[in-house]
Amino acid sequence: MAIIAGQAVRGENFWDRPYLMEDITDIIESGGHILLVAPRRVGKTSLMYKILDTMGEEYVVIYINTEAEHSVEAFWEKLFHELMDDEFIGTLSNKANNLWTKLKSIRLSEAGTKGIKFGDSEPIDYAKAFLDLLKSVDTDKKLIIMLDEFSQTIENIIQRESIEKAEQLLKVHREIRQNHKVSEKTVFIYAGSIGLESVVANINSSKHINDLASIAVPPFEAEDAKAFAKDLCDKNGIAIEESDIVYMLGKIEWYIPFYIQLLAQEVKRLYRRNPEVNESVIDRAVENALSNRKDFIHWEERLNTFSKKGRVYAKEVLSLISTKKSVESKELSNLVVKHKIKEAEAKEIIHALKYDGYINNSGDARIYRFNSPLLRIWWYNNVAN
Amino acid sequence: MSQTNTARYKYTPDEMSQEAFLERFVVRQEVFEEIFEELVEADYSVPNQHYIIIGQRGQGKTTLLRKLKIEVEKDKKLSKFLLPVKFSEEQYRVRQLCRFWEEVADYLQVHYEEIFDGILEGMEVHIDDDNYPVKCFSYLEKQLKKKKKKLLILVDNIDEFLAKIKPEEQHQLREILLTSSSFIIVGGSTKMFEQQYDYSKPFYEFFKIIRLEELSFDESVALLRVLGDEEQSKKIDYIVEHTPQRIETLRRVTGGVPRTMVMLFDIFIEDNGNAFDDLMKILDEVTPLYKDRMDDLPPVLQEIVDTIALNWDGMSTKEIAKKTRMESKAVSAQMKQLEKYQIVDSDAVGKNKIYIIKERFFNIWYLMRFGRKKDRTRVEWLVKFLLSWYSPKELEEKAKSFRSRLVHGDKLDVNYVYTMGEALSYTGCLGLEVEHDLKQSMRAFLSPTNAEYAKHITKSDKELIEKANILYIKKEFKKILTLHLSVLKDLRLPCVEISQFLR
Ligand SMILES: Nc1ncnc2c1ncn2[C@@H]1O[C@H](COP(=O)(O)OP(=O)(O)OP(=O)(O)O)[C@@H](O)[C@H]1O
Ligand SMILES: [Mg+2]
Repeated sequence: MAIIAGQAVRGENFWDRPYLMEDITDIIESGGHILLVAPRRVGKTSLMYKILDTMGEEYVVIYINTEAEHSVEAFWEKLFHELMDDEFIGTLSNKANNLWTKLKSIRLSEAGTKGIKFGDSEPIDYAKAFLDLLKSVDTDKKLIIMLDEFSQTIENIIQRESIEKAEQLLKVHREIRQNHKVSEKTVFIYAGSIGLESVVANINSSKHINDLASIAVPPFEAEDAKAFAKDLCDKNGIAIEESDIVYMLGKIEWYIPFYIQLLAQEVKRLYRRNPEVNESVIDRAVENALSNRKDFIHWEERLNTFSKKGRVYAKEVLSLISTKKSVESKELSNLVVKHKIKEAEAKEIIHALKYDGYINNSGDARIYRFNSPLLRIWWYNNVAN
Repeated sequence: MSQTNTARYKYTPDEMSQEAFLERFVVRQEVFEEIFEELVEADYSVPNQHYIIIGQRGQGKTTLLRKLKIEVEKDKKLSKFLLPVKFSEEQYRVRQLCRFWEEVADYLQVHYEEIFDGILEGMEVHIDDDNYPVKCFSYLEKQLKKKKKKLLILVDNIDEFLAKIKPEEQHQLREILLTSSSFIIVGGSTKMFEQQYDYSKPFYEFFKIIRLEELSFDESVALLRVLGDEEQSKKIDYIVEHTPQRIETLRRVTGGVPRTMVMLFDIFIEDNGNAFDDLMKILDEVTPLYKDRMDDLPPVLQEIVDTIALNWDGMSTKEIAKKTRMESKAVSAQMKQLEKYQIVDSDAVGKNKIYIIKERFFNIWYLMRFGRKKDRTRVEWLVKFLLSWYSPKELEEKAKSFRSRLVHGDKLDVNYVYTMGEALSYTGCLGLEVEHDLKQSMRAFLSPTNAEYAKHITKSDKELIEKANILYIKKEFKKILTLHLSVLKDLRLPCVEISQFLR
């Protein structure tokens, strides 16, 4: 198990939580479609890879990332091409024969023509082609289509084309999901590093995704976190006492695997120079980890999706909490007055901050604090001051 | 003494022979190992982590990239499937993502002809397609899969490239980095990315950042020792034994940046100015990059940087405010920005913060380029080095021997003669006659070859005093005052009191 902090993890680098996979298979078996929900860097993409790598026996699984697509047309074209990909088709040959034959034949018909045009040289309608394909194949295995960064695609389309186009794409997706012929044989799983729900809510289109079953990818439980950290250290030749692991996790509190990886990476670096772990080494590792702006900056940039006023308000809320460590909700109300922001918008923003993994009020509903001291300290040093 | 050419190899690791290069790789071993071990242990069937090595100019990025290339090629297991692709210096000018892949393909067909003959042409077949940028990479990837090869793409100055590609291409690259298992990128970069003032999509998260720290004292000694010939090693041993604080001074004043350190060391150890000449060439080479860096800054920050750079030594907020005619408060806010961009470094002195240009080499460049001739600032960096390196007595010795080489008509670089001569005189440690003779000889040396430089040689203290005396006799006190002030401005005489010479 290698220490990987940033890139999605795969294969033996993935720390498995079997119960999560079971939640997912339950929904798939009951014919639902899934929206993976989690703040940034919690492990959505890694989980999709896990599905790709482990569910291939029973299902035909394909992972598609569409974040580079900036138009509806480009989106469908990408989907179509990923299905036509040699490698994907190759994996089908002796387990999903019908699909394999079908895809092969489509490939042949388009092979000669470079710009992928059919006989009458009209450009292909990829959306239609995709849908026809899904309807017509009668595969022996269910197809799981995972769309990562789908929310980014929607955002791209809003920016480059129009809100209407984005809405239309969401609608078509919903129609596809509700088409029995398709739904019988196909499961969609969506995810994205910006929350699909908030992107969609911004354009008042929540109704187009409310049929999706949300699966929250939660942070690790303490036991998982401990076992994971231990394993990560062991496999990387770092001798560490259990008490130090506990100390390290205390610096994280909100156990997303990314933070554990981040600290393990810094500990390893120090260990290479002096093979010893103790609390002061961990303190230094924390300090070094916090100096890598790129690992935290997205927390600040995420706020850019709010309105200008909202952004200023959100920043001040977070800065206040980062300074005082915990803040009562009435103090936040004072800020609402100060910033002359609408009550409803302020509420929305606090909700988003909770939802996106910045803060929580789970101990006492009136008291807000950061999920993780790591982010709190980073925020305090880099944004608040 | 070594020839100019061999000396230059020291500063440009790519030009050294492989053997000499490996012999000299004595510092940053642990950084190399960090990456190399991970390359050895990586699972190449899945997308991997990428790397960016961050360090100032001369901090050793190019060296590490070359070391990685060599060691991967030497490694029995890795070399079977992992092919290093090394971008050359100029290729950082690549502005488009598809050009990047084309460069990779081009490299492959030149360097691994038996495997990848014609790959670039194969790629360019698609050049007129709408989505060529995407096809470009998928074509490359197909070929790699077919041949069962992976790439280790080594790109110096990768920040230049990443900053230039368009937002769509950034998304494409993100997607490729996230999904492709065909390559690992190791980049070198002089800046932290927050210096890019408006990147929106944090795609640097796929990169593991490796920062090159300043060399320690021991590392500095090890490096200096291994770079020179036998004679030089002896000199270093002597210094380490008798005046180790000099190495420490050199280390601190250069920020522990290997190339800057070695170069300045050579300027002291050598007498003929070859090292100085090299320094000038390297300063020329970095000019476009440094210029870009300045141009990227908003005007206010440019002005503050200018002020601190011309001062060479650290400045307090108050001093900066005074020089720039800004409010202290406003300056404070700006300084935070500059610290964030890692352009300045601060030191707390009591309650105040003292700011200094973080990259000393950039500061030298700035002085040499923007410091006025006939002005102390231009050579200030060298003055400070001389003062910290030599005792006053040694400085006078050095001035004498320098002069005798001028008189002797040795072949010396004109810029070197001018800069070194002026710096020696500004140390204020030379006797009146010694300094005067030095200036006279400099004039004699420079006039026939470079009248421009000769004209810029400042008057010796002796000449100034004579002038003052004449004015005194003529009772032109006002003019004496002006003269006195202009001398004070340059503060040339910390060791010698002018007034004592005035009758
Ligand atoms: N199951 C896991 N086991 C070990 N590490 C993990 C796991 N899941 C996530 N990580 C860690 O978290 C990091 C981010 O993972 P991943 O890219 O899957 O998150 P994401 O939710 O898709 O992020 P984004 O919101 O940026 O798309 C990985 O680099 C790794 O350090
Ligand atoms: Mg992701």
